[in-house]
Amino acid sequence: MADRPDSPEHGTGSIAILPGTDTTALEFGGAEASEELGLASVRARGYWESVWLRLRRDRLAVAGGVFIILLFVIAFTGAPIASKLLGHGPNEPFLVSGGLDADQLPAGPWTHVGKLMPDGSLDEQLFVLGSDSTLGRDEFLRLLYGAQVSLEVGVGATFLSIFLGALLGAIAGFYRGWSDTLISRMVELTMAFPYLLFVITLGATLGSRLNKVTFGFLGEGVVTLVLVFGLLGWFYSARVFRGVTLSLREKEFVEAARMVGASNWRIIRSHILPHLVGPLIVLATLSVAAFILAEACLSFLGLGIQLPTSSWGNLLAYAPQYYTERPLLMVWPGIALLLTTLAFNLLGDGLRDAFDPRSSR
Amino acid sequence: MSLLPVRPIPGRETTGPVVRPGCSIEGSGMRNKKRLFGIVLAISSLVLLAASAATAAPTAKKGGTIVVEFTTDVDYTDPQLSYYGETWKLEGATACKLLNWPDKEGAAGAVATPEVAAGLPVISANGKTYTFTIKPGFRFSNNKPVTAKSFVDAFNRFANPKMQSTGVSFLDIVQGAQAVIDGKASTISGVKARGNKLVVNLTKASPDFLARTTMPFMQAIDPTLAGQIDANGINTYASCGPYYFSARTPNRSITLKRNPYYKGGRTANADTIQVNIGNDVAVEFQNVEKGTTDYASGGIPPTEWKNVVSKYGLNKKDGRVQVRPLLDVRYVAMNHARPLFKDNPGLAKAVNWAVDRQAFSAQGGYLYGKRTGQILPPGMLGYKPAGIYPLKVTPNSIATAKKLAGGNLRGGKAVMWASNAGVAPLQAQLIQYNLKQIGIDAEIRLLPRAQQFTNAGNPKTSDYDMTVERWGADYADPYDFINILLDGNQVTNPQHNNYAYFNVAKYNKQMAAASLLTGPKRGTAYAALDGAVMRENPPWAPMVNSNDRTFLSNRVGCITINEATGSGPLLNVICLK
Repeated sequence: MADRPDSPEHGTGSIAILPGTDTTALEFGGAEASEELGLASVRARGYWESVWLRLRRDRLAVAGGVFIILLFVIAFTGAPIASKLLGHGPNEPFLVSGGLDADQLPAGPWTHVGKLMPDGSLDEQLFVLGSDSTLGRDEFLRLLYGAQVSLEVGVGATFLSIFLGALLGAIAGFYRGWSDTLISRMVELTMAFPYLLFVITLGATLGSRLNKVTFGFLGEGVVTLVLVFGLLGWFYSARVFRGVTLSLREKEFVEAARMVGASNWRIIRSHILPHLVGPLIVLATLSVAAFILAEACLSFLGLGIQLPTSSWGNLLAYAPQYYTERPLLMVWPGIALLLTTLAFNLLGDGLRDAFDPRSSR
Repeated sequence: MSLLPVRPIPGRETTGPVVRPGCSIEGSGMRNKKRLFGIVLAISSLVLLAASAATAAPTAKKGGTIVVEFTTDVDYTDPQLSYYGETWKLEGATACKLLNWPDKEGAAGAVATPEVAAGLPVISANGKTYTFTIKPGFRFSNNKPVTAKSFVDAFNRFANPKMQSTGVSFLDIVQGAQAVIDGKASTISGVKARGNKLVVNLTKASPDFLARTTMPFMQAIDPTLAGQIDANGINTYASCGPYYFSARTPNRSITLKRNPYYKGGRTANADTIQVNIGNDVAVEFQNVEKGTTDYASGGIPPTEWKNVVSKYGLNKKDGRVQVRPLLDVRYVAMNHARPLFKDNPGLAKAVNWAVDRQAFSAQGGYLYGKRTGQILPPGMLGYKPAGIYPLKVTPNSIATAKKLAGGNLRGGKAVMWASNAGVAPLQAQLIQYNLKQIGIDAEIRLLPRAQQFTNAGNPKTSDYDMTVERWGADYADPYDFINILLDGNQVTNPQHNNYAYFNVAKYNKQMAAASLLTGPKRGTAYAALDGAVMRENPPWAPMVNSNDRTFLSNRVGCITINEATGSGPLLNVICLK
């Protein structure tokens, strides 16, 4: 932590000594010494460049990152395109014309169904992964639209919880005293709070109004879950950031800043917060995965996303009804959930190592 | 009545037919009464004969433990509080009543016969006073005798306002009951014990009173239970049927043991009936297949019914898969007390044209039931196919629905309640989609089943526009459907069953008049009401009359299913191989 960009002990000039930087050349007398030794001149690497170089070496983390980018693209642009191409929406039932098979079971993968048109004719359309249930809706489209919901909840809740956690953690760690005591007790209170009970209470009281808040682009129920996860999930990041800040505020560069008359706000903004970026990104990637799983759990319990909006959780919730006849209905959302959380976790691990190469895997 | 948590949409369960209230038993003399009663029995028999499976009396093997599974816990085991199908199944084995259903199948089981009563009651000339003679020999499981006072205690405990029983509307005809319900008296003036005689005075001649005595609310209770007034209910107590509740751990298990002092004529094959609670239908299905559970009372996954029928056959004697029609209806109640449906018959009709009854039924799987657009179920006195609404969605039906809805949408926003168990959420989404086609944007709220109907029946908590409901006959009479579910005079009560908050003076009057009729006139009057209400101002969108589907383990050696009691094999009769 001491070797970050704006620390006074970063040395002089433009060369930053960063964790993991090869300093051999410098020990022999800097650039001149390098030339004397016949070595090519060493270009100083910025902090972020070093992080990126280290991250790039971690193939699993890169794969995770690529998967996440693809997932965002598929969910937010691929889903509407697929819906347009297939000719139907994710909530449209196909009950009388192929959405169910002869045994009244959900149609299997790659089934052609007929859409009942106003004139009574049937328009043939494709169900790539078959039907989601005995309602005869397109499993493939629901999976894609479910990804939107999962990502919205995961990212939204992460932003809120990390923002609250970083803010409160930094205040508690920097100012200590009564603000630390107050915030620490709040953390303990939040940790002890029965969050499932809170979700049920919120659902029964404000739920119906909150669920309607979509800002024109979010799924129904997303805002409720983001608020619940954010308001009850900030404690972990607050604890992390408090610990880091407590350590940072004792560092020489902070003392130096204070000595030259920097205000508390300037010290927090310019000297403390930049050091929190690394752990913040790592924590965020891991939180996204955790919140996606939490959304799936709540939807599985019927407390999450509002019907008929699709989410991976509610796809999983209905699938066991057909587990002997249509086991793939459990597999599709299961795999999606598994790969997404794995990707976020791999990226998180990779980022942790990239930001702090001294930590061992 | 009851909720079947295991069934796709848990709903009210049935307890069946009986002394057909359509036939007069108030008459001028005992001979005439007996003759009329005979007619009652004959009609009841004929009505249910078609639905009955021909199975002979089982060769019973005594002893052992029958294991039953419920997916969710019962509401209560307390006799004056329980109003749930699963509990009534258990109370079918524990209760002793004035009149009861014989442990028989088909027509023989469809006739309520005196159990603790020595015979049919003597009814006064004006039809308002019933005098029962109590048969000696019945004893509770604590060895105390069953007397006329045991029934007086039951009536008083049932009406006690501190008990807050949801079934008290069935006491509306008992003289003095309302005073107790209102807290103005401590005992019902119209129910008295005189030696071994039980005298019940009614406020009006009521053709269905005898049928009401078969409900578990009015079973005999022992003096200890009579003194226990607790709205939370009593879990275990001495009872006078073949079994008694020996243990209950809420949400975990219920144990029924054989009543050692039972001297009545009913069967008690197993030593113990063990009820395990909380497994999902998929797990229950596996347990029954393995033979670790004998009867999954909540059913099995909807998609498995076809498999088990092809694997084990249907309705074979003592076979593993049994299906019987129920006197029930699954419906979408439209709340007429809220702005969307208040004085808006056009929209209510539009909903009836829009809902996809075929797809609704398909959610429940093979042999789920029969589509309907009427209030009364087939087999019920007064049922007459009317063909008012389509049982299958077509482009024409959707066009008609849109036309009827046009101009009547009033903003087009609705809140729809449904159970959160089984296939109910799927059925709710289907209706939501159907409503969207006519311009109604329905928000689904899923609730635990017990919470759904308790809140729906309370005017203070019924903040829904539509609720997906189920009603099973408490006893086989149209009064139990038309009056109990649609009489507007009860909508202000803190607990009632008129979930549509349907309150139209004209129909209230016609319902009251129909309830006093007997014989064919009664059937005709209720048939006319069914047709008129659904045609002119539909309170509901009726969807399906469901079947009772039973799947048993290979350990089970004999069963008896009495369609009159409406839900699965009689637990006291099940025996092991």
